[in-house]
Amino acid sequence: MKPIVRYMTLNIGILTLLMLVILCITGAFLGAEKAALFFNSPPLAVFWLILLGTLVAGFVCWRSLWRRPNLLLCHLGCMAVLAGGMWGSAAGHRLRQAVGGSSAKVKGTIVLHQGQSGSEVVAERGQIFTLPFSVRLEQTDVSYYDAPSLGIYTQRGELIGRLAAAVDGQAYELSAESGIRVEVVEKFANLRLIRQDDGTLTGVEGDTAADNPGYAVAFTLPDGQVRRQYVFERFEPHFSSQLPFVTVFLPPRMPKEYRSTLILEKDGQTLAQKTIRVNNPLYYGGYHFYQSTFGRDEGGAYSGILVVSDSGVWCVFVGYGLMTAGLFGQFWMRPLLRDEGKG
Amino acid sequence: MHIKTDLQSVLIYLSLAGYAAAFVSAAIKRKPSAGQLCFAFAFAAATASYIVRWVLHHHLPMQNLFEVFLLMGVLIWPIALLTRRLLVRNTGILPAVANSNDPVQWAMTLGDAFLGVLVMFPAGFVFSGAPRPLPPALQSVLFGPHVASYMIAYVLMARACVPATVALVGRYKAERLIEAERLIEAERLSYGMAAAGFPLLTLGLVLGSVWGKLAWGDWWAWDPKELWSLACWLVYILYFHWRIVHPKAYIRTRLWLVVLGIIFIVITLLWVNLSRIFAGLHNYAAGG
Repeated sequence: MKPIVRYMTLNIGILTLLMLVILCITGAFLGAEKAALFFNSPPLAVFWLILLGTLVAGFVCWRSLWRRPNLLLCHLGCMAVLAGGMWGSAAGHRLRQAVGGSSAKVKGTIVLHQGQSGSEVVAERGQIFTLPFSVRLEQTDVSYYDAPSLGIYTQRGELIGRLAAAVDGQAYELSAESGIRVEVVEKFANLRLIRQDDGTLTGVEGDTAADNPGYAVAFTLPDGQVRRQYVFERFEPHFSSQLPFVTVFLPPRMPKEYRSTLILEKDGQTLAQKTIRVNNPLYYGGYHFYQSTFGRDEGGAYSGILVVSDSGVWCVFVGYGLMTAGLFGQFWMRPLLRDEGKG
Repeated sequence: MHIKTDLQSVLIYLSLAGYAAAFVSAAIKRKPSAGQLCFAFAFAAATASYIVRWVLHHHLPMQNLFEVFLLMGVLIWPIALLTRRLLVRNTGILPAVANSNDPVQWAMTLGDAFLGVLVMFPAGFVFSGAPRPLPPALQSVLFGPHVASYMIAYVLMARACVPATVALVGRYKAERLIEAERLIEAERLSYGMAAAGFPLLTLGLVLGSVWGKLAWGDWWAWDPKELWSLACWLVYILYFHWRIVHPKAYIRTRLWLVVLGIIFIVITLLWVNLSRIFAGLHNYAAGG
């Protein structure tokens, strides 16, 4: 190969890399969502092909690459990452769909209540994909770093006290001046309020099958009188006209871990089962299942499971391995920095 | 900016004082051993502060800008010693005996001390050290290797920038680098550092991508932080290829590429995390 052709290939490569730097900066200002569309647009698909073509041309023109295993690995790795990325990208899927070679890229969410099954994945734009099996949410829960608490507010909304949302037998002084002591005296799994003949409300434990947790808080006034307030975890606070305070349930705010136990089933048979967490998805049949969201509504606890098809990802990861091994080999393992250092 | 009085912060201030003393010692060209003593002291104080942070908060302190700046404060001196040893042994770029009259060595020592002050000052006075529990997304075995790779690479790339900057704009150029040979020498030193840091920069990027797949379902999400990291990686790729295309010419362009690399690193580390322009998946890394 003539040296001029070899150096032209390298210069085209450098120009392409420079172009990619500019595109990356542009994409960063667009934000992730618009950048994803931008980098998957038809003109950019052409650009990715040119970049891949430049790498291939480099292999053809620079035979010395074949004799230097570290550099060979670096460049092969880059090619694998690019090829895998293009194969698994939205644009790649569209192209393969157009020629009838692939189904659409699956990326969406299934929201399931505990005990519920489903197979329809809803994508961001409302598109629905049906999985070839069903997903059952056996159990879901969340643990927190902080504990739930009860906040005591004045009627102007000023927080004047905070106590643990637990019956711990401890009474707290609201403030030295007020002389009022406050204590959580009872916890309910299903709090119901019953109006007495004298018009006051009393909290009782309702049907325990229902799920409406709450607390009874006792305020001991300086004259020794005790007044109760009832606090619901999920509903508006109970106002007691006899007290100038409102007690509000303050849920924990720092999640430690989300967990969902998933069972994949088809025709009554269990295909796979796993308790997934953030960073620990379930993989089955070309799909990854991720813990995405968690919440609670009238139907109880629910979990949002992100479902993503893994098209091209293994090619990308192999590329990463080759590229990283090649770079460490080139820059660290060779007699360190000797040849290259001499420019 | 406010002064903190807890043990961890006092150790940060001591480390900052150590780096500042090392800087002054290098600037007035006193005995190199005195400067090394200041570096050792700064390193010990930063390491002690880092350990205190780790013990008190029960997780690897690499979660936000406060913690990664503190980590960089720990890394500067060991990296300086290690790279110096390797460069002396393998390239002969640096003479075996430390010599404060050598402008390259002088600039590197001054640069290390300046870098120390630069990272410990915001850790001590600007970023909040308030404890924050590790969110579920950061509870991964890849968390430590991903951040550590990047931080070591960043320190190496910052060191690569020192001879490049000095050669491009400093007094050093007017006095000693009139000859092209001296310019080449500075570039070789920059190259040595960049070549040592680049595999780690790549490892950081790759581990981040694999982690992204495990945590968020995508190995690449076109997030602003990811795009700036890729742009930064590409600048160094450009630099290495430029050296091959022009082995004997355009030395200044090479040096500018090394400087551009560190500018991109600063943008990736600071601007992307602190600015509202680049809201994305990496927002938890902000200083708080």
